[in-house]
Amino acid sequence: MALFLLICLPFSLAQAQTVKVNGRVTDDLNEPMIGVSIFEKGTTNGVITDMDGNYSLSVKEGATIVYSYIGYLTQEKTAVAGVMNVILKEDTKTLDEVVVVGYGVQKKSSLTGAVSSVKSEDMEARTITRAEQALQGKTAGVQVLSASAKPGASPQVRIRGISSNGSCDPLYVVDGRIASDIGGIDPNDIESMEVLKDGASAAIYGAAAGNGVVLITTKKGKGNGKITYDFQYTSQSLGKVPEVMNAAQYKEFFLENKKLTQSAFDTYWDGKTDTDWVDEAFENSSMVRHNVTFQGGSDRGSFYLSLSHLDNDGMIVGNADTYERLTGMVNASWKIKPWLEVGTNNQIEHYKTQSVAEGNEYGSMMLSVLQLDPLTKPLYPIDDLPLNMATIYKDHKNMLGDGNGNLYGVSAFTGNAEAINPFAMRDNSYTKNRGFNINGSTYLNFMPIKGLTVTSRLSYRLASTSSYGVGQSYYYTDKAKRDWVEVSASDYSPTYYQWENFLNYTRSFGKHNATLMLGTSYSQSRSYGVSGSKKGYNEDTTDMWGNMINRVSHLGFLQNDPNFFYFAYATSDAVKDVSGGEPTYTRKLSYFGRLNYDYAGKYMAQFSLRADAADLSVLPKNKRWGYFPAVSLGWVLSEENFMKGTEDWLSQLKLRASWGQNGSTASLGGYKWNVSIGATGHLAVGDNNNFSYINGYAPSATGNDGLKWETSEQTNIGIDARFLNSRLTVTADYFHKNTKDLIVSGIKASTVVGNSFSPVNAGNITNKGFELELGWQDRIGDFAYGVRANVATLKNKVTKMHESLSSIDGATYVTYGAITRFEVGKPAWYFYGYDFMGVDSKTGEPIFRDIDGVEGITDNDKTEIGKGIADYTYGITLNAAWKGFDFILFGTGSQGNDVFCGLNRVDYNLNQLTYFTKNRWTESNRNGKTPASGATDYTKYLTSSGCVFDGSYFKIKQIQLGYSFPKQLIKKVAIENLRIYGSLEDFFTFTDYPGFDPEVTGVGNSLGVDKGSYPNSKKVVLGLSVTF
Amino acid sequence: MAGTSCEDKLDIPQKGVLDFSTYYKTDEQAQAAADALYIQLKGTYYNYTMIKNALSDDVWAGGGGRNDNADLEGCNEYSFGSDQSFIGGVWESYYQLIYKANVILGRVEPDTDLKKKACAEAKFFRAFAYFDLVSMWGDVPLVDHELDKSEYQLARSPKADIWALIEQDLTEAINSGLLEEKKSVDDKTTWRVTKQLAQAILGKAYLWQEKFHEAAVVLNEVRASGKYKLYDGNYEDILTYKAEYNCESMLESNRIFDASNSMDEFSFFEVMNHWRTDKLDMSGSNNQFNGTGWGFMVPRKKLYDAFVQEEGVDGYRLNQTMKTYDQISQLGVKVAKGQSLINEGYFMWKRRFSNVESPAVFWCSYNNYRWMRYAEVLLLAAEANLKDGNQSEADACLNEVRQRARLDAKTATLDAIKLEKRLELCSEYTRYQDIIRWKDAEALLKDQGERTPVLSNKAGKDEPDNVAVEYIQYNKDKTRYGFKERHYLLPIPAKEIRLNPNMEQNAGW
Repeated sequence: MALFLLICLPFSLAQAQTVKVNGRVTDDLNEPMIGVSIFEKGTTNGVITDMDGNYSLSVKEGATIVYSYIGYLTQEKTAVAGVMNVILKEDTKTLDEVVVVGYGVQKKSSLTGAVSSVKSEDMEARTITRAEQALQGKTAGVQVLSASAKPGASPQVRIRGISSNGSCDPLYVVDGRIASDIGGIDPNDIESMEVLKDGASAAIYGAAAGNGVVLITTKKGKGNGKITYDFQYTSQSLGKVPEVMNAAQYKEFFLENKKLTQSAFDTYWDGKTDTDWVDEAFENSSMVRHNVTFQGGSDRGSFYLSLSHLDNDGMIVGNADTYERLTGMVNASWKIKPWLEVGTNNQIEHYKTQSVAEGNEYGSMMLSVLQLDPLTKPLYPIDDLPLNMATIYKDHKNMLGDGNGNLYGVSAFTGNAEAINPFAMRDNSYTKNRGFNINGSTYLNFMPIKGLTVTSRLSYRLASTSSYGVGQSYYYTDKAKRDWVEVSASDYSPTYYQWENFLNYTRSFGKHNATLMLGTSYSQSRSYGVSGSKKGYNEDTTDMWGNMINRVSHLGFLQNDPNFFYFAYATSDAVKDVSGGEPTYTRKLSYFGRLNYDYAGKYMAQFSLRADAADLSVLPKNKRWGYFPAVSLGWVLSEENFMKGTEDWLSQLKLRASWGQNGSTASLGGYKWNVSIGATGHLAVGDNNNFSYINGYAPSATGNDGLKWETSEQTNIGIDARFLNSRLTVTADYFHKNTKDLIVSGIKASTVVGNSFSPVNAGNITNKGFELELGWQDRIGDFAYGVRANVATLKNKVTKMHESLSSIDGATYVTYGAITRFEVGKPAWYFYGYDFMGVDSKTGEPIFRDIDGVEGITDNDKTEIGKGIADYTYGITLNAAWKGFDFILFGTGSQGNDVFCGLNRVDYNLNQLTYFTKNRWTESNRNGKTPASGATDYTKYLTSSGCVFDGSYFKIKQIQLGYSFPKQLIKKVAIENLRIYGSLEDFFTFTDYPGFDPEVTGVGNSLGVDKGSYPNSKKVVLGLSVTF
Repeated sequence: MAGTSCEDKLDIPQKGVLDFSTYYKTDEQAQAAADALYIQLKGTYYNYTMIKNALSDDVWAGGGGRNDNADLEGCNEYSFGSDQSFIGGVWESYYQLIYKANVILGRVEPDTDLKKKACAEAKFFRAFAYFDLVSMWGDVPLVDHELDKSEYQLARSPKADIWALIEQDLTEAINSGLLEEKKSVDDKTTWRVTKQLAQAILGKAYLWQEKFHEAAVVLNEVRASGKYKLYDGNYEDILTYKAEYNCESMLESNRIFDASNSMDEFSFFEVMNHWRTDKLDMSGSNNQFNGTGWGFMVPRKKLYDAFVQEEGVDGYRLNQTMKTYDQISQLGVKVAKGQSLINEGYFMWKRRFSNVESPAVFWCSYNNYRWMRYAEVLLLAAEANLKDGNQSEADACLNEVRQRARLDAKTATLDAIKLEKRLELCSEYTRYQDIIRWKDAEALLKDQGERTPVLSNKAGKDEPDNVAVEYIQYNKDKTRYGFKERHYLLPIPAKEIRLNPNMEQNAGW
């Protein structure tokens, strides 16, 4: 025995002998893989590959070596001394991908709800500056709407339609922190965004989740030390420009309607000038970005530091529209003890922005470039002014100009219209906004026993916004003028914190797996700030009969010099105004829990419940608690025995069904339910020299102490399937979302009640739709390619309203009343106006459909003439790679939505889109399709279906070609990766809409109402990305 | 985290408001509630004046050109529908005033003089609002208390019930003995509702119901009070800031210039009614007129002609009420070359907008809003006395007004009174309700809207001015403009019809 042992010993010793293994790890394309983790199975002995993919490791002979890298299939090999080269294959079967859900993570394979993800690759190397933009066209059922595409503008995200008459914004959750604004996060720093679309998935956020939830996970450090630098230069230019009348057409149009006389043209037009105001006001501009990240990580912790700088100068000539942002991100975590992990995620942002007026029929720069007459020049020399300007200049030396002896042209034709010379509009006043945000969360993960994690997380937001505005002393017309200088400034510093404690406990019993989550949340936001203004005024001296003898204009500031335009240098008699200084708080308390269960990865079920309590400013005490339950089920058919044999073509097939309730109080706050006695204004008693004020007091509103949460109830049925070795993926969902107890504010039950009505729960709205996401990925030799496509349909309908209410008016246009409405049986905020039937060939008057049968066309003849909601939206992404080259084509569009074109006005002699004039009725064109110039009912025409257009569009958002230099080449200069690329973004738009950009119109109750929004620019992009 | 302590933190008290359930107890609170009525009234002025003026035969809608304000054009040309925004606006204002009055009457216990006075004022304002409602819309919902939720959708009450409430409210307010009275005829400090004002409105209410004797009695009481007389300063100043709270003024809404609250007096009233300044060259006028005006509500030639027929072209009152184009061009205001505006060649003068009254911004003026002046009381009294068979009193009333206008005395006939009222109170918001009441409206207004005057200067750059009026026919369909039978009552606002299934529309609308 002893002998045997002795004999055996050398053998066993020999078996345990250490051998040295080395080799190279490459990918399918034979590119070296850096940072691949290689270790001896069952030990902590391991290394990672170097820059060239090489490694060297000493292991016991015969041991198993494990090669692993995120996103690649792990390989195990038995150690053999000498060279062991390994090719790692990409893991196309990402079934075990982990998806972030509220208060935990879940394997994608076990999801039972409808959750769409957008990954970092959809955000990198694009010109998007905000995370919301990355959702557009990449996921089904998520629509990104913009009221403006000015530098720094934030778009609005709609998940599965419009589920409220109030706010429809989804809840954003950044690393667990409820975020009111996600502008402070550079998209490059985002690892993934999960959109919780169905009611059950979102229900864990209860009362805040009625419009869906977007979970944003920022990047964690990876690899053993990596530095990345990205640079991007973008040249922006105006895309689609509406055509307006030229000088000759303008003249003809206004002679025809007799609003201008021949002598007006003889007197004020040189017969030559034909200004293209769009050309004058816009220029090519640039956007420059730099982004640097430092990161590293191991199994104990990770570190991620990033800094980025964005400088976007918009397309308006000069620096009137700019957005500059500096963001930083610091994410770190460390497993201090086997039972304790600490971590923190922080986003720091500083921004500066300045913008011009838009999206408003009264004084928008976008509108004025369309509406100004082409007969006026942008500039005239002071010593050679046209008659109308010379008359003004005689009395008003403060006319604006370029500072080089030229004054900005004042139209002699458009009178005191709000549309004024865009340069005068740009220069007469400006407001600069700036601010910073420190957002983040710090957490402890306590793991006392196996399977249990207790998390305590404090999230916070410290913010400051300040604005500074100057109105110069100027004269443009008798309406656009200021005899003094006006300075206004404000400073707001809201703070927010949220403290959440929750536990996740996972246990398995045989094939039964269960995870229980329980938690509480408490949050408070405080808003506080002050604002003020100082300005000059006119002082008149009158004689004893009250006739003015003399007027003195007080500038309000010591000098008419921008260096003095601060409160400190205002004159002591300047007119002052101060407001703010009152802190307001909102608080919320919640309890929540969730149980996940699955049997053998085949049958899954999830139950959750959240209870939320709102504070008094939101809801009355007896209605403060809301309870939001959810349940969802999943069945993986492909795991069933009867599906055996389908594996060669069907990789996975799962059926899902879910039901859940969410809430919303987004339209509330400010004690709107309460009746209080408040001041109704004041009245001065006495005269200018000796007066006092009296205040009137009256009930604020009718009150509603039965006000409760808006509740959305959503059923979702879905299917996930993967075919052909997961090369083809299909996800399809059908949803039916019913939102009830809509909170309706600003309504009346009758005008004779005589007071404003407090909000009531007064309606239901449904959204139904079908969503399909398809993906295909394959490789043919060196050529890899993929296609991802998604399409979502949407049927939106208001299904119920309080019996006392037949409709709610939305957006208005000029003085012609509401043009959008919220009404039972119709889509939310449908267009409401006259149905234009054509032009009377005898008179040139527009003819409208007589709806009420009563003689004459009045408000009662208004009807449904369109809708801003699209029937379906879609997106397609193609990508391809060959050797070092890569290519992306990404397009998105919407179909079946209308746009109300609010770009014309007829109350002044303003230029018009040629769409409305080129085939108008005239004495010699009696079959004209648009009304005669000066038709009496032209104002009705402006709110008729004649001004509603098909807003469907398809836009190629991105065409990008990139090249990555061969690693063998660049490693000589210690570079791990170097990619250069060029893109065309928003370059091609296909649409029939005659205005600027159908993608950018109104949002909210102005959905699809175009009053001259800042359009998306066409972009030419050059970029570079280098990793060390 | 203990749930209970956290939940207490949700009880965040509201700032800046008072508790509804305990208000309306003290004198001070009752008065503050009454003060809210005056603030509400002031806020009503713009819609109130625009609608009444535009619906009369005194003015053209005006403006810089066709469609400049389609709403006003629609009113003036009788092509409006039940959606007309001024009509809806003023209707809602009246019911807001009634609501605030009802809150006082329902919640203030009249156990002190101040509280009784607040209640008397509330009754006055409720009656004031109902007078316009019943005289312009006919049967309207009778709201005499704060409505409970179950009562939100009221049907209309017969006119007789509304008139009864008006009479009762005014009689009680007058008899309370607590309404203020001016200390003397020249007292400029009394700004609250006076007993005489309540009597004047009561007299008006009687006259509208053709209760001529009652009307004559109460209106003669106002005359006999000695608290009011016709303004004897320059007639042209009567409505301007130079003559605020003059001895003739029955009710004004006070406005002032306070540099620290300059936008308090924001109103479109002055700029809308002022001349169309962007079409005018005012460089010769020495800046006495405000530089911003939109030229709506411009006098019709037939108003001017009526003046001329009675007073001659040099009539004292005519020349201080309105100016011809020639007259204003002598003041240095001309139609600029190549410009045109909607105007028949006449410019309102008694409402001229001077530069001095808007030191802060052009849409603020410190000129008080005028609601009623004693001249109207006299002419109401003239009519009531005439119909009551008291010719000498009627003559006295009429000739008091004519004397101030420097006209010879006349026998008061109904036609004489109608003419005098038209001239004396043109563009002062009484004409429309009068011609409706007299059933003259259809004859006077049936062609309103047929054509529109355009005043233009057709001179080229170096040519002499060539200013002339041209008439353009914009409305071509005779059925769609002009006063028709149904216009004797305004339409119930479309919004109310939509909101309230129990509401019936007036005939023909």
